[in-house]
Amino acid sequence: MIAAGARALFTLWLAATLVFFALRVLPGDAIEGQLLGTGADAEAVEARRAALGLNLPITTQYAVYLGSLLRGDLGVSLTNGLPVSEIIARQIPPTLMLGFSALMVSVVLGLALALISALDIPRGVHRVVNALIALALSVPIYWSGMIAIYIFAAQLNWLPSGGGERLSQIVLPAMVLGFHISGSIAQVLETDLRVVIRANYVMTGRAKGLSETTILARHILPNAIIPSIAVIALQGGFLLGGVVITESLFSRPGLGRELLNATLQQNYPLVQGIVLWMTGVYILFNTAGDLLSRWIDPRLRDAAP
Amino acid sequence: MSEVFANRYQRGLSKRTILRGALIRILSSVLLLMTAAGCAASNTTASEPRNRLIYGLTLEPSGFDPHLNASSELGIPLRQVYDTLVYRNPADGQFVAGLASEWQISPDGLVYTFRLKEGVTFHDGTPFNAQAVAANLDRIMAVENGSQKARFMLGSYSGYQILDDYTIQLLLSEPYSPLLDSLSQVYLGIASPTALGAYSNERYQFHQVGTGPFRFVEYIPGDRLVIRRSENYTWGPSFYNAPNERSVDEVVFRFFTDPPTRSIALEAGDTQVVGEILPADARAIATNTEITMIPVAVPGQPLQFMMNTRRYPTDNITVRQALLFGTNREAIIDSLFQRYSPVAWGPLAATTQFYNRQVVGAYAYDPSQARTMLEGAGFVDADNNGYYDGIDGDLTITMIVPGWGFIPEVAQLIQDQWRDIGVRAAISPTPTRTLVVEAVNQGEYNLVAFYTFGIDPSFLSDYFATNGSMNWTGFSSTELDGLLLEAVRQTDPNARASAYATVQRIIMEQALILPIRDYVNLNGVRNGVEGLVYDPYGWFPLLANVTLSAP
Repeated sequence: MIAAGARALFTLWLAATLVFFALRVLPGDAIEGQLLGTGADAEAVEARRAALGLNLPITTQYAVYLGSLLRGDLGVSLTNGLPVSEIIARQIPPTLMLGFSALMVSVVLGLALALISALDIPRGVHRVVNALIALALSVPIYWSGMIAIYIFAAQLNWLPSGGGERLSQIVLPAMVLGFHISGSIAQVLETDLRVVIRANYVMTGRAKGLSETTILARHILPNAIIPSIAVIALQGGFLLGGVVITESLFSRPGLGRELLNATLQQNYPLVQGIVLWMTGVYILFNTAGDLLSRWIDPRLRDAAP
Repeated sequence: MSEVFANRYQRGLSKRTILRGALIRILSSVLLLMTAAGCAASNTTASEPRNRLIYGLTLEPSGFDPHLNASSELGIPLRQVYDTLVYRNPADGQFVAGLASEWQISPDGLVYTFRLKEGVTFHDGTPFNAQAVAANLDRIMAVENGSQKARFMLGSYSGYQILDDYTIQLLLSEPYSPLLDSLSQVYLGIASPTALGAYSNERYQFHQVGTGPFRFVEYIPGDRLVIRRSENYTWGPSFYNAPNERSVDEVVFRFFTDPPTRSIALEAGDTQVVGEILPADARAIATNTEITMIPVAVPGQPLQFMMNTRRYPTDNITVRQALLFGTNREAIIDSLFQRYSPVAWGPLAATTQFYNRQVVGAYAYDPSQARTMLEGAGFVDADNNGYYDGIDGDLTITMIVPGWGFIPEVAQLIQDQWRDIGVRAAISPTPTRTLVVEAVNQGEYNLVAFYTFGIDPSFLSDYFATNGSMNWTGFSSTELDGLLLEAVRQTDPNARASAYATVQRIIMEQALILPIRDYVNLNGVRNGVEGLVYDPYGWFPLLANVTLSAP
């Protein structure tokens, strides 16, 4: 447990450091872009950079950054002066909402796709299902999102094309994002299902007269689902990337869109803050997936962590 | 056996029936709750304003404070919240009274005296007076506040003098004739000194208070900005009508940052107005009878490439002129802008003040003329590969290509077109503004695209004066410097017009830029929205007169 905590802290520090330096490999900063073409002269740009501490040597900036990080201070946005922690806190609920909805969609859909494909019920449908899984895995979310908006919002007018106010506005983005995540869940689950349905204990179950439903629910699924739980947890990572595009595409508020804007504006403190937060969530997801797999599979409980 | 089975089956059935009953009860109570919630929701909407307009913004500004932030987009909602000392009449662009009922400019151009309207109150009840104007100027000028635009718009402003409660003088250190133009823009909108004092700089953007036809209700980052009609607004500029029962009383601004989704949101009815629709989408929805396109020409600089006069081969004026002759602007506008944009011929868009009509038709597409000129300048194609030879391989023009405003697509077409005149274009994609600055600072470019918007052409000084902050052509001439300075200092419009006419002529004679198209903002409006007018700056709607027809 302590080792896990130390590992998590190390990962966070690594992420913070990598982002800090990666951002500064790019030439220039937010201020130059902000004041370009507004009539500001070089002197005004320099004065502004000095006021924000952007003219200090990079090592000093890094030390200052780590110092404030240890105090729990993420700094302020370079574009509007708001505390980064406040901006992040405000954007967490909509992103969480979208992420959670998408994950629900993906688990249900992934399970359904895998079962239909592996058990081939109804017969012949597995080809269609496999094509769907391949689509979910390979097509960029930007494309499928546009298609979904075009069909369901513009043509059929069933759902709003986006926005972040009403509940109906989350349906389309959650479906699109969930569909893409369901692909890898279904893929892993399907492979495991195919192995498990041929397992000896399944045959034993049939031999002693258990109903197909019982076999499926009590013996096949619990055994096949374990690797998928890790996959679902790992999808947290994909989810974090996916929300960046999905939120922009569906005009939703959230961390993803904030990250995209902040990156384009080279708003260092905000990018750093969001990446740090996302890293934390990712670690959390992985740990949760790990614990869940162990809880479900007794064989893993005694294994070394 | 069969009896046992039947028995089981029946028990199962009855269980199922019980289950089903329970399910139905649960479902119906959920439905009931939802209906109740729906009723509650519709009850609240009944008390809300009747005439609500949804207006789509195309990007979410990083900050919404007009004094401190620079985005054009912030002016779309805030133009409705703030009054300015003067306004430009949307009909003819002339200055009309705003918060100032009259004004005088001293003969030496150093003192602007404003007589302010009396009886004006801010939305928070604070009275408007000369002290309020002074508080705004102080806030904008304070260096520590880091104003990104408003401060620089005040030019040589050096201070103010309050003569009485309703008279204030703005003092300049040297003549600066664009001052009135600046004072008519939302960046210099007058905010309530009470609200400015109550909130810190970064908080004020959530609690803005002005004197305009609409008051600020809320701004929820990433989601919406809401304004609502202010009652007893009687001091508006002459072109604002009194509201009637069909007038818009609430506007909800939403963000549609992804360009292809804008026209879809409009078609789906998720927004009633949205700007910056992609030209191809605009062409496609032109057939939609529920939507009207309002293309608005934006004054300022056209989409243009500045040519570096300090680097081979664009240091040669003949090469620069040949590039102009070798570029088919009509074709670019046909394919990329769906004919929605006029061809640009000079350094100013046609709707800009002091535009010189004489530049029209200069360097009209003539590839054979371009080739003749290049050959006249001594260029040959010795290796016979279709490109003239430069000092180091093919004759190559390096272009810094920013990632916005269709510039990458334009550059691509130019690259194709220049093949016909034996010139190779090397495109250097440069996605952000900051990267453009860095690339320019390195100096290894022939062409760089950049442009600014505005009605008063005083921005030309930044680009074409020897010491201009963005003199990216590297051109330097005492004649041009003198004219640009004169044009900013002169208060007589005729003298300014003549100075700027010569400036435009010189820039094109020297072939300092390759202008492509005048910027046109393609706004889509759904049926039922009437009276939508854009102010002369092109970006900002004037929503006070907008009415909604009965649904």
